[in-house]
Amino acid sequence: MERNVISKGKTVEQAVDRALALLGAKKEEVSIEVIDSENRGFLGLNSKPAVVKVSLLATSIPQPTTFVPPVDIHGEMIPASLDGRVIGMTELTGSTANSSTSTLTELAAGLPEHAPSKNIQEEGKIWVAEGRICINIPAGGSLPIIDAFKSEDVVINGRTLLAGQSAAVSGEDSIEVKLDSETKDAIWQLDIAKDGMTATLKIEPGYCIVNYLVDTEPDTRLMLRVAQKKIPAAIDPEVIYQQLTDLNIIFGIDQSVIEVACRADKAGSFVIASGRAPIHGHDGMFELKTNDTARKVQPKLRENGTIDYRETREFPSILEGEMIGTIIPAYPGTDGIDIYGNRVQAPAVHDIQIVPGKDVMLSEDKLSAIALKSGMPSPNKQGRLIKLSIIPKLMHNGDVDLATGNIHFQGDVEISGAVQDTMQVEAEGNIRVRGNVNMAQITAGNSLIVHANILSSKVVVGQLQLFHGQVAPMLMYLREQTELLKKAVRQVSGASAFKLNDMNQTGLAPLFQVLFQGRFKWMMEQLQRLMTLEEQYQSTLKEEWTRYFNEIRTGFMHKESSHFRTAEDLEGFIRRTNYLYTMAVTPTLERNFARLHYIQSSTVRCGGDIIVEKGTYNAHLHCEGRLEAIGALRGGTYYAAEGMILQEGGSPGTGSTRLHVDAKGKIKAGKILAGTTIQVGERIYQFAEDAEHVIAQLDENNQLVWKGRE
Amino acid sequence: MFSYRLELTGEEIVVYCEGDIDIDAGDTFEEELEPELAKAAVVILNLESVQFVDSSGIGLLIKLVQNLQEQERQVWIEKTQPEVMEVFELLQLDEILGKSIFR
Repeated sequence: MERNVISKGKTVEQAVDRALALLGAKKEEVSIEVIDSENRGFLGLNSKPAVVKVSLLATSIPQPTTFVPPVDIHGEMIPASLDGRVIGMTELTGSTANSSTSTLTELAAGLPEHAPSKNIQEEGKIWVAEGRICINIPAGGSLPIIDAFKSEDVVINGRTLLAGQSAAVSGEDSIEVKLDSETKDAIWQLDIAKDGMTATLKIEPGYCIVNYLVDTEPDTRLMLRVAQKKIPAAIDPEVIYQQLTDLNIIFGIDQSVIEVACRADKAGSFVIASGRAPIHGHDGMFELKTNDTARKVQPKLRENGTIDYRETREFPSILEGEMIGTIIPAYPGTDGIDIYGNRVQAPAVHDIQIVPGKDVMLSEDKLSAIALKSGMPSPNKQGRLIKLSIIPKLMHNGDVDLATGNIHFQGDVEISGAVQDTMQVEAEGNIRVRGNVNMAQITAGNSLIVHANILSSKVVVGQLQLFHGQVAPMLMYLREQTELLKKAVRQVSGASAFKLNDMNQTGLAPLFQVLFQGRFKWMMEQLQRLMTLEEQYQSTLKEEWTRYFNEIRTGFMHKESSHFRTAEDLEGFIRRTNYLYTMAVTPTLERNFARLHYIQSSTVRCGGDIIVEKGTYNAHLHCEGRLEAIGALRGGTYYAAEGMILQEGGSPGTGSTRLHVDAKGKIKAGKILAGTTIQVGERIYQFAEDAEHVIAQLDENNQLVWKGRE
Repeated sequence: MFSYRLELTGEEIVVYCEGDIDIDAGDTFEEELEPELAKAAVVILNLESVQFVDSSGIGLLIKLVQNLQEQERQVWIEKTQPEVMEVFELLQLDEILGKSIFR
């Protein structure tokens, strides 16, 4: 197959070069036939261009159809296609063609005698290839037509076409198509974290929207079509580095992130510099080293998936002369560094100190504590001090009954037998009962273990924690209300028509009486509830609480007089309220618990957790911690603030069973029998059918949801 | 010093209060004024000449009005001085005695 081009030029050499460029071939790959040498004419008159025919040698023909490289219109090149057609090409823009349409036509008409072609096309064609307008007019062919697609977008030889206008064009014409492009610069911003630990680059990338002509097939008429493409514009990383330098950021700069960020094609945030955070140390700690190895045993996981706490819930005890525990010194942290290269100090750590209490002696280095008597170590953490004392233990052999009398002891009590009818056992520390508790009353300041049954009895465990659990929300409310009360007193006292004389006689009492009827309607009720609570826990409460409750009585409760005389007096009361509130919500070192075996027709109240080893029947259990029941809870009410886990709940035909946890708690039960009511927070649900593997809790909409099988 | 003057028109009695309603007005309020109002179905307390109040006095006023209201009698407080009204408003007397008490 042969491909050839007929080319014109001022000289033969120029004509050949152009033909080679058009064919994309080298001189060695073609044969050249000079059709007409140039004739410069006389003084430029009658000058004629050189005309050559350049043919590709058969072996080096690449693709017969690819012959549309850009050609300068001044080249007046006339490439020939396979069949010898003469093609005139025009560049898209920027050309200043001198030759008019008629000269091109003349030229085309004058050519055929030289052209070897036999099939001459009558029509000129126009098309777009690779974004450029191409024109092919065969010798003697008609001129193709271009249509303006929008007013003033097409300019031919400096003359614009209006929308809907058309023009006949030749290869010699300058056709200019105006194509808009839109450029948006990238927007970026460097944010430095307040702590100086990170620098974040926020980028909205820039872009360039380019309009280009859509390629078409050759035709006698060309309707231009325009398409768009978006080219992202990258940010020069140097400007980012400059900004970092200007801001004195020197540490932790991540060059690879900057590279990625600068080339991002979507908006985003990039952390381009980050400091090294300090590593926290830890404060000094006190560690009990008692012989209660059982306590250190990891809780066992039972086959049904629940945890066996029994082995972990034991009382610590210690013998005379034994070491109670040691101090683990504070361990300082490691400083970090911010992006400015400054040192960031690790939080300070504090050592802890033992304050020896009753029956406790310190070692010479003051790091260990030794028991002077047998008993239970009682560490009490207050700030950076550990108050440590030994609580004595009372061993009672046999039953507690009418013959032995009640037991009241300021320490731990262990009873090897039973606690019989109507007897009371009260201890400030822990109580252990190896026998039954029958129609009796048990009050343990700390924790309680009962190895046998509890029948028709009343049990209170960890009273102080119970009290704290109940009093804390009341104090919080009181603190808020008193704060408002103080403001109200100030406001009224400032009113010009308000006389303060009577305050000297009565204090703020009359004013309170008015306010309690109006804006502070609920405060009186709350104060009365606090009084009831005090009555309930009177025996457990220490002096600071008693003093506080007396202050409430003389300050608010008497109608005739109050020891509060000014708003400032209330300020002092608010401080004391806050102090006690803090005490009530501070978790104790050792959480109280009641580990019980079987409970029937009894009431148990516990400040910490309750563990039921066998089961209950018609019992009333209340605890501020968690309730775990290995057996079945049959009939009665069960409240556990933090949640409960039980094997089975409900009673077939023996009255209702009610399980109740706080809003944040969960009820997990192996089985729940029909008729059982569960309550989570304020939401209540009663099971109509038996259900297995129940997990009940509140969802994010505060609705009670439960999973399980009915 | 607190004093008052009564003006009876049919079943309506107007109490023209004068002086301060304060802790010293206690006896006058409880022992003299309250019994005198026993007959009237409508009681109007005119406070135009009251310039000062204290918390005890407001307590007395509340008690008096509440007692009368319990006996299902219509009570109004009128012509209160703006300074005194400010105190009443701070203490939300309209909440305690009913919104329509002041006129």
